[in-house]
Order: sequence, then structure tokens, then C-alpha cells
Amino acid sequence: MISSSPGASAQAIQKHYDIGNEFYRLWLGDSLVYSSGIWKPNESYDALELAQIRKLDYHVNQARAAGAKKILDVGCGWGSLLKRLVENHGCDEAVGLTLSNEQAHYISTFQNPKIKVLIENWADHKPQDNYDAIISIGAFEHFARPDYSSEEKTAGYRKFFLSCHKWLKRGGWMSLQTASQGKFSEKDKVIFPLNEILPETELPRLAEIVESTERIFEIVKIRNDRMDYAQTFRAWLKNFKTNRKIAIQMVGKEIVDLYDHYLHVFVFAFETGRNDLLRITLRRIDESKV
Amino acid sequence: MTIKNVEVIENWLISKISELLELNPDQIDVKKPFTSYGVDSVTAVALSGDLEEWLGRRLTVTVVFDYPDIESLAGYLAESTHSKGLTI
Repeated sequence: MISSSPGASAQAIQKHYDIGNEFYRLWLGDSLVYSSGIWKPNESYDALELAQIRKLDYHVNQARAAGAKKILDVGCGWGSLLKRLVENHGCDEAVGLTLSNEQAHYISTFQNPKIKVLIENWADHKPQDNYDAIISIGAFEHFARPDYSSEEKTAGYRKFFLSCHKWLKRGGWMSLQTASQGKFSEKDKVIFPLNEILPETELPRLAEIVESTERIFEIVKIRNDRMDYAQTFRAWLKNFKTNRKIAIQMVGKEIVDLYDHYLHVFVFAFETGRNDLLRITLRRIDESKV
Repeated sequence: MTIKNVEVIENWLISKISELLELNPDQIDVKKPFTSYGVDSVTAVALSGDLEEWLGRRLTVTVVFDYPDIESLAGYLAESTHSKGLTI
């Protein structure tokens, strides 16, 4: 099906995420969570799994999803949040959207009747029932392409939030986590061939996200936790270095060198503020006339 | 600040930078900026990561830019490590 999504195509997503689950496990860890954790001060990199669980629970709390009937996870990755929702937070049903075949297949092996995964772009999603809450962690980065103007990006993001507004029950909440452009100007952005490793991907600016939610969602909280992402990337880099030889056997030296470079560059980006890590809590505006 | 600690750190930095950039240690002048040797964002991350592991304290890559040569970085690290009660 040809999608009218304003973001990265299925092929672009698969180029990055379908390289091999076991390759990702080497450096992400067993939980396969590919987004920033939440770290405590002076916590060791060995606490990566704990930092990831802390992040997942944070978003469940922010979205008021605990004990809810039906939750949507947009960009569900390898399903760690889906599992956490139904196994630890008493949710009846968790629906995940992904464009990655490998991720969808991995989630299907859970064989949990409360978890449903769809290989589907959010722009094509048509739920039969509304959701109590929506969570999206580390997917929003793919909702725009590098050749888009700021206006086009904002229009695309607004389309996403309008969809979420339609899917959510009255009084519903959303919790969003995304990397974003940071405090430097266009010319000082991280110099890295991002599109070699994450094709058709362009990070949002905070202002674009805020504008795209106007009169649809109330922004209740915004956090910039870029040092969390810096520490997460350092933890991944440590695992990557430890498992470098195995990684080369799996995917070859060229790809390993590319990912090695990518991990270093994003430690730099988040530690220096060239990129930010936004956590945004949103409440549906039920009276919206949009 | 103890002179020995500064010297130890300087020698460590000379050794690490020559290893990372495949330079002869004799080519390294402790007063010259890191960027003059070709230290870029990737090398700075690797350097700060190895320093972190060696010193046993959290460091970010910004320390390499805030103290942009071996002499000043070693001085800062010796003083701040000493004040944290850590030993090298």
C-alpha cells in the first residue's frame, strides 16, 4: 500500500532497523530498547536496563496508562513498552505500530494475546475503537524528511497530532519522547552523514512540535533530558566496543565502523547540546474545534 | 594541585592521543590545541570516555573543549580529581 505519510518510508525504516535483531542486542542489551533511558546521578553504565525500565514507567505514568483498557504505542520498536504495559501495568490491550518487519516478527514471538503489532504507518492506522492513552518513544524523529521546509514539517506533525486526537478517548493523555535539534544554528548541526544510517530522517525543532499541537493538545510538561541520551549513547558505545568482534562477524566491518562513528557522534551531539532529548506530556483538548 | 599528578595525567594524555591518532608521542606539544593534532568530535568522545574510565569519574566531551590543550586539561583534572578525594 502506498502511504501518504509525511515521514520516512517503510524502506528507509527497514534499512536501519532490519539489519538484524541480534546485532542490536549486542549493544542495546537484552531489553532491545532503542531510545534514551532515564538515569540517576552517578549511575554506572551497567545500569542501562534499569534506566530503560525507568523510562518506560515514566511514560506509562505521564500518559496515565496504568490499568487502562487499550493503549497505542506509535513506533513500538521491539515491543518492550508493549510488554511492560500488559505485564506490569495491568493494561488489557497494547497495540504497537512499526514499519520494521524484524521488529514485528520479534514481537509476535511473545505470543501474548494482549499485545497486537501492526506493520503499519501511523498515517494509515484506522483503529476500530478509541485508545485510553497514546505513547510514542523514539519514533517522532522519523516523521519528517531532510528536504522538508519548517512549514512542511509542522504540517506533517500536525497531521500526526490530529490523528492522535481522533484516536484518543475524551480526557486521554499522550506521552512523547523524541530527539530534537538543539541550541546551535543550522550550520553548526552535527556533521554526520545521518542519511547513510538513518535515511529520510530529519529531527524536529521544539517550536515545530509546539506549534503543531496548538488547539489540539494541551502541553502539560516539557523536559529536555539531553544528558540522559548522552549517557545512554555512552552505555551503548561501551557495549559496542566490548562486542566489536562479534558485530563484525554478524554484519561486516563497514557497517560496524559506520555504527561506531554514529554512536560517537551522538554522544558528542547530546553532551554539547547540538541535539536535545524532549519528553513531552500532552492532554487532549476535548473541546477542540479543529 | 600536586605536580606529580599533573605530570601523570599529561603523560597519559600524550600516550592516549598518540594512540588514537597514530602519532609519535614526540610530535605532541602539551601547549598546542588538541585540534592542531586532528582531534575531532569522534576522537574527543573517545578521549573523554577513556579518561572517565581511567579516573573513575563522570566526564563529558565538553571538558576537551573547555580545556583545549594537554597542559590545561591535565591541570584541571589534577585539581578537580584531588578535590574529589580521588587518587590516580
